[in-house]
Amino acid sequence: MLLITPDVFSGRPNPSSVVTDTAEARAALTELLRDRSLLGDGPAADAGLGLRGIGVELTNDELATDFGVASRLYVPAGTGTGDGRASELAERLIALMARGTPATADAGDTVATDAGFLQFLRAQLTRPSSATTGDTAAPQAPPEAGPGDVVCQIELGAFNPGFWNNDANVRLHNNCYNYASNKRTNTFAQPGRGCGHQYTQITCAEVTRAALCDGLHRRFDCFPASQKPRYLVALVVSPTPGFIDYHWYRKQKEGFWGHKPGNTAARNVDNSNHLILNPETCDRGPYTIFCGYFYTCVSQKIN
Amino acid sequence: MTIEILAYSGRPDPVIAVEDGAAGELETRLARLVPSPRGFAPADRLGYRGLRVRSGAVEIEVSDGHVRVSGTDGRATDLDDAGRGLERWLLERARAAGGADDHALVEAILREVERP
Repeated sequence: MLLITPDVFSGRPNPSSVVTDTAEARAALTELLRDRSLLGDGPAADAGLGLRGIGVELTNDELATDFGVASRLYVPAGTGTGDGRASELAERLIALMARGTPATADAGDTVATDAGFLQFLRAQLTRPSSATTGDTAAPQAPPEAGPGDVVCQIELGAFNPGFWNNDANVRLHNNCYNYASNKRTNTFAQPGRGCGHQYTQITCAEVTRAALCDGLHRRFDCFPASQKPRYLVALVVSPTPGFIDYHWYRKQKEGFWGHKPGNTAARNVDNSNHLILNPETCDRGPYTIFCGYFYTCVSQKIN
Repeated sequence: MTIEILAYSGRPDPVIAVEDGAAGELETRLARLVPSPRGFAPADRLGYRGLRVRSGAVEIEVSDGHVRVSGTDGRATDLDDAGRGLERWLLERARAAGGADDHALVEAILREVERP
């Protein structure tokens, strides 16, 4: 037997559904265990309100022995988990809940199998992981902000490092520019190569030219809604003789900045292992020159 | 034998082919290293992170005084490169075999590695 409990509520206890059909329970476990990397110890670190995951408890020691698993499993689900396969598993478990019976001492509490509740759970799996917000020129705006109060609408995506890190091929062939643009090309993309005019030297001016050629805009040169998602990104350069390179950051929904140093893992901490709240002041190692902020757009060319 | 210098974020890391004779010397130097009780963990930061050497079917990762040798059987051996002697020797081989850009990069890295 399985006890399926969506991790969703904040105040009230999460409801559970008991699945007594052995064949269904075994089939669900087989599916769950097909890719154990999708299981977790709990919700994602940035999971907030709403569906965070689904707990599966084996209430039968034979099942635990047959499948060689602990009695409790957890499938992180909802926004931030980012993996289609995890959502598929969660859908299956939700469907199984519908066919189970509520596991509660309160005979009147049938929420675990309530059609409206289950539909809500399904909708949680597809809620967008990005949010649109205004990017406003601060009173001490940088020179490029232009006159007056400029407010550009931008999108902030949820931090999803697994998308870039879990597959070694993806990690090795996508760099900081891929990550900042949120476009996985597997080409170790270079600014300007998409538009046919790659940078010819690594300076703020030349890498900026190349990025603008690809279709990026300088900050406060707004993109229309038709260019969603419009991410806020930052460019820095290392001018150290012998170590000339560039690097990009992208602002995330959670308020910090994410980045991916070359073929290493995407992360949200700097070289001092501090959360990146400001790319201008974080520890950037040798990338000491801050070039500026830009917006990416859906029609950005990137290669 | 090739030496990949793991350093950049935007630009691709350079991969430098070194002379065939270096493979034998590499094997000799590896044999002198002692097993490391600590697991190999590649440096994870902006800037120079280490080296990845490919010699035949063997891959050797070198980072911050640690070495991991991975063979075709999927097994890995972790070694201590105390004093970073192996790393400096590999960087010297890369400098000798690389072009002007690679030479400048290695010079910058050696200054960093040799900094007390």
